[in-house]
Amino acid sequence: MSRTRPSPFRRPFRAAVLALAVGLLAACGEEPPVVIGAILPLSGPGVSVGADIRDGLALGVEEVNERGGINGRRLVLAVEDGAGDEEASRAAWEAIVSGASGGDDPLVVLAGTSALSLSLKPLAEEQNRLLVGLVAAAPALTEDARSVYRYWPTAEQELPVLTSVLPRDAQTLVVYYLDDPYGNAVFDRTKARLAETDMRIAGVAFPLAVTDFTTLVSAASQGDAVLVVGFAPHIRGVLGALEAQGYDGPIAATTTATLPEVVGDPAADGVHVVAPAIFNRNFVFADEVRVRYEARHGKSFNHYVANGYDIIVMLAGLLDGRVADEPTLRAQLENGFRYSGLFGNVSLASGARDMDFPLFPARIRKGELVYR
Amino acid sequence: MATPLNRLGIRFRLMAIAASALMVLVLAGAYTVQTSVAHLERTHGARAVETADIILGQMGANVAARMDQIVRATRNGIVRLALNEANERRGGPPLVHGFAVGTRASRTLRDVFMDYEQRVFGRTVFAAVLLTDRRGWVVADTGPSSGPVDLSGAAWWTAARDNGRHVSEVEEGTGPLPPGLGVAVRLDDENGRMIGVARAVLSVAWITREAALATQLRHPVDILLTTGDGKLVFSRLPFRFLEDVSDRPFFQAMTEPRGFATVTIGSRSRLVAYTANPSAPAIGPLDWTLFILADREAVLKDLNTLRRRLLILLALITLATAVGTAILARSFLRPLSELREAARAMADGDLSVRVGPKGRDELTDLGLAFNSMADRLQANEATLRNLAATDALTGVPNRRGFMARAAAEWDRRRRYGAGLSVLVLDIDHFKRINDIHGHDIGDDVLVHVAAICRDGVRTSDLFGRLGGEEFAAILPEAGIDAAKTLAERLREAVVSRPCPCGDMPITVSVSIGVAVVGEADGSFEAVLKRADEALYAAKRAGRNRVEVAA
Repeated sequence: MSRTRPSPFRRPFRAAVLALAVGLLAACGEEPPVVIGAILPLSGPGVSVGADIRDGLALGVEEVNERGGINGRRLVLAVEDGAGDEEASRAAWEAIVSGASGGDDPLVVLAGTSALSLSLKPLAEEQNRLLVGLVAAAPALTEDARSVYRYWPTAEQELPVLTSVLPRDAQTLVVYYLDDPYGNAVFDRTKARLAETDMRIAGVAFPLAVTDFTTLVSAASQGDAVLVVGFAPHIRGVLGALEAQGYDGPIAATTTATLPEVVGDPAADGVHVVAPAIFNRNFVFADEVRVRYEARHGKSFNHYVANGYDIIVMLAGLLDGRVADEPTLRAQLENGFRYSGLFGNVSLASGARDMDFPLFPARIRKGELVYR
Repeated sequence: MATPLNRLGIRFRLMAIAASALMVLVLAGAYTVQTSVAHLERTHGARAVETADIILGQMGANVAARMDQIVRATRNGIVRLALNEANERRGGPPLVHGFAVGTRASRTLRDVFMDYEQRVFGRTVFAAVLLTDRRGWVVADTGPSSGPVDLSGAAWWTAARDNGRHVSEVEEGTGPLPPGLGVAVRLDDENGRMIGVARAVLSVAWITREAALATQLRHPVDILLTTGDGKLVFSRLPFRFLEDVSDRPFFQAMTEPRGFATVTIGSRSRLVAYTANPSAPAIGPLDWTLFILADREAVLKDLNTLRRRLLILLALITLATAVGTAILARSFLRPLSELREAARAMADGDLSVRVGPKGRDELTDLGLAFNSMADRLQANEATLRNLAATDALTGVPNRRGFMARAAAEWDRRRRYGAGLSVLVLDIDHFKRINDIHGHDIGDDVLVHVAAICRDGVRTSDLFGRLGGEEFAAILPEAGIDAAKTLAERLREAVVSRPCPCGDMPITVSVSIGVAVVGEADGSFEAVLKRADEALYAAKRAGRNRVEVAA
């Protein structure tokens, strides 16, 4: 076998080609993306809420990436369905943190609804991972938490506005409330807050699965004012039953009543609500996001979507100009901040876990929300 | 005259012209695009600064409106009564407990400025409100108070008393004062007499809310509001109140009260527009600076799209121009090259070469002129050649022409092996004819004999004049018999047809020598010599006869 003598130019040439290739690869190579995990109820009863949050998250990720990502790093969303029992949420958690959902180690895990967030809280605390609850009002979510935050109004935050819309001269207030942690918390805190007044509070609890509100409402004696706490179908059911019964006294409802499906219900006309800023058409920033979302998805924008969108923009803003890693984000959250987002001026006090969520008194008028 | 330019080929010069034109085109395009980018950046910057001015002006107006609100609220009966009673006492702190700190006036202030706002609108505007009488003693306070306090020595108090209004710096909140923007207003009665000073702290929530509302721009931009020394008052991104940002690049980029700059960090460039408001007319010194930061790529997105399109268009134009130039150059160079090659061929003697001009341009005219010139040259050359090979008197080939044709016939015979015979004729007693009748008659005789012989030979034969009165004929493919017969016929024709010259015809005869090419003949001249020897044999034998060479 003959061997030819290598050209004296071959070795430098190879080195130059290799250097060029490495240079080109380095120039073309992107920094690793920033992964944000999301565990949402994407099946079962809470699917519409989960899907809305997911769509909001996706819109936020898309817009942040269009503006260059987080300091040039793309944002990637890893979503898992966590609906079902605790085993299902645990499996979703493992899939997210192990990277099986696609993507590297997540910077933070976002969880939707109280039930799902609460089931993930022990895992987050145990593994020292950041967890942010969305559309999660249950007080227990952030109690004694080190790694769990909440971006959603609590019953405590709703109460000042909620009680401010109730007529001061009412003698009796009947509270129709969903028998779950959130509904119970609202009822209990309303009672406590109004304890110093002469108002008598009567509670009518109903289970999650109830559909016949006529019987429920007709069985209760109505007072001077009514407060309704629950998911949109519950609120609509109670309002419809009250209307059928001929009740014409003042009615107040929690933030859920600002959902377009409730606002658009004729039975909701005149109801006093606790409203987030996003439905205020004069709030240009939120209205623009609404227009973009509705044009893209062909369905109504609501505060579940807004919650998903805004947490992404908020997280990106917290890491703007900083190292996009978990310790930095944790420090930013720990130090507290103010943020003017879709919901208005949100703030997180230093060391706190619940973001102060601005809510405003409003009233439903002919299918529209009228803010004071 | 040789110049540096005409030392270069036309092809090179055309390429240089095209390259120069393309370079001008590319440079002009690049300059236009670059100028557009700079212009757009300037326009964006100017608009952003203008927007920042408006936002900052709006913020100032909102602060002024809140100060007006304080003045109006002090028209409240309870508050006014407290002020009046405090002002009516002579020296010392207010003694009337009903209107002192922590009493009805304070509750009224709290209800009017804080509780009502929170209850009805779910928000706070004022974090604290405090009233002093005209001597500086506190009359009412929404915050906790340890008792009557004289604040007449405070800077804000004297500033409000002297100027009517005063805006303090944004403060983090020290002691009993909550964080926010401190403002102070002098309170006058209907006659313009000072009745006290109101001091309020506009809450951080209010500042944030007002800033958020004022900065709802449709474009995705970051807006930051800082104090003059770089403490963050507001940002569209999550922020910490009064965080020091004076070391941040956007703050460092500020070199004058208002303007814009480009700040690049890593691969990200941002356009920073800023405006400072050192003196808002309605409220005095505010000393805030508003920054509007926009992603440069986002601002120039449309222009970058346009730039990409322009570059593609420019590339296409360049390509089209290059192709067009090549085609154009070819249309020049092809006929020129053809002309050059034709001229070289002609210079080498080939007068038959022609160019193929197509079109109607000057080069076509040049090609046609060249062809015309070549035609004329070829015709002249043919004429000259003909003249050189023809006997001017008799019109038959002269010796040169005859010998040239004879050489060709000789070659043809050698190639094909055909027979060839040669006749040599001489007019008998021609000298005598000249002597008796003169040379003119002699010439006529020559012409007469040549004409008879030329007409008498076959069309394939060649007849020529070798010189004087001697002629010769080449008879291709003719054997001895055919040649002798032809020679006899010619001799007979000459002698039987007198020359019609002068007054009386002259009868002449010719002697003819015939030779047929044989194996021993090495050249045409050898055959001719043998025919010539046969001619002299005929002469010696009495003339007017035909002799065949041995």
